[in-house]
Amino acid sequence: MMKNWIPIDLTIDILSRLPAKSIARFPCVSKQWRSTLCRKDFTELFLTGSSDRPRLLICVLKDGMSKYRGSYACGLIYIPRADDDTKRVICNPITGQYLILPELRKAYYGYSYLGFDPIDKEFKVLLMDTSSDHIASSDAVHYICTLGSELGWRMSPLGARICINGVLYYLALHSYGMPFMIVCFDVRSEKFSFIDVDSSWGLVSSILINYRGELGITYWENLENRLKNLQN
Amino acid sequence: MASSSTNKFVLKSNDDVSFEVTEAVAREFQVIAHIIDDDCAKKAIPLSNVTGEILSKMIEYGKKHIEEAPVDEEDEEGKKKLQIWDEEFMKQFNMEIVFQLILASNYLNNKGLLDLTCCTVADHIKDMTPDEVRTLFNVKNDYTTEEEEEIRKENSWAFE
Repeated sequence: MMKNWIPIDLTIDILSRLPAKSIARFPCVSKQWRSTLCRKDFTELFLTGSSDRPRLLICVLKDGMSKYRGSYACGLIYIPRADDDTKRVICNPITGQYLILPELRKAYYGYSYLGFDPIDKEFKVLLMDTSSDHIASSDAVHYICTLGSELGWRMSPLGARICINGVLYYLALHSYGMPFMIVCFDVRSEKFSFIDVDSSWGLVSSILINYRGELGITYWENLENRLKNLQN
Repeated sequence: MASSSTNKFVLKSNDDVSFEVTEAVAREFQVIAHIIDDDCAKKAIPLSNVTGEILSKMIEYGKKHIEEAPVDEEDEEGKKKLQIWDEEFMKQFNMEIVFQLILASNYLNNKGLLDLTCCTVADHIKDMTPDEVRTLFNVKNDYTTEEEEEIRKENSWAFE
């Protein structure tokens, strides 16, 4: 046996415990190391391990107040555009790399969010062309952009703030204002479904959260902030 | 039937060193636990991939983790004490021994020791250059100078 020889599965076990900066440096070691470190399943193993590590908080400030409703999925941050001067950007806070999404032909000010499909390991941005908060209204046009070699927007046949297990969830009003509901967008199948919620909670003050891997909502009731698990 | 604290088993390394251990310590290693359950542990258990030097260290680790096992999930103090002991335990080894411990804990299937040894290597190499890593892992550089430069450029931020 060679000195210090260990099989590749144990090498992968060791490498998955490294910080991102080392992982970005070590493809230089050899061709086999490069192909191992660049595989999607290694990235997934690394991200699973890194969920115990400290998290980053990123704020974008413009004119003294944040106009951006950024979203986060599986290591990437998406910053939608807020006005004519800005672009839609996806960035990787670990590597500092960023990607500008292509422009849509018309000027769209709609809501857009980032999601991750854990089966095909694809990132997708969902954009809703709408001028108001009525983002689930029947006349809104939806576009999807998949991250990959060919970036482009596709129109979706059919309004996300949070992505859990491959589903994007966001709060929306019906066209006529009341009541409100939660829209669920399956990033893989690109299908929509809906969860009815108690309209007395108020759309503005309610926040969707990832509660131990399940969808939760915080809302105000009798001046108390409450948390409800929507999957139980 | 005797309890696991009085039952003794003999483990034999590939260089013929024998160690007598309690059943509880023997069961720290999944592979040995299966041999005991299959009632094949009447005689000394031969471990063909482990030297006496490595086996004695593994038994020391196994004993400590039986004796000082945290009372329950909530026992933060117990967990912390064991963690400090683990760190001290690893400090005595050079990388060659750590690699042998990784192979042996994988072979005998002790997840705790495998985690500990893998973390030790990761911590040791995290600030190394690719060349230092090649030397340690005994990996041949199969890139041409141009290829290596190209890959280095792709992630130049990582070399700052």
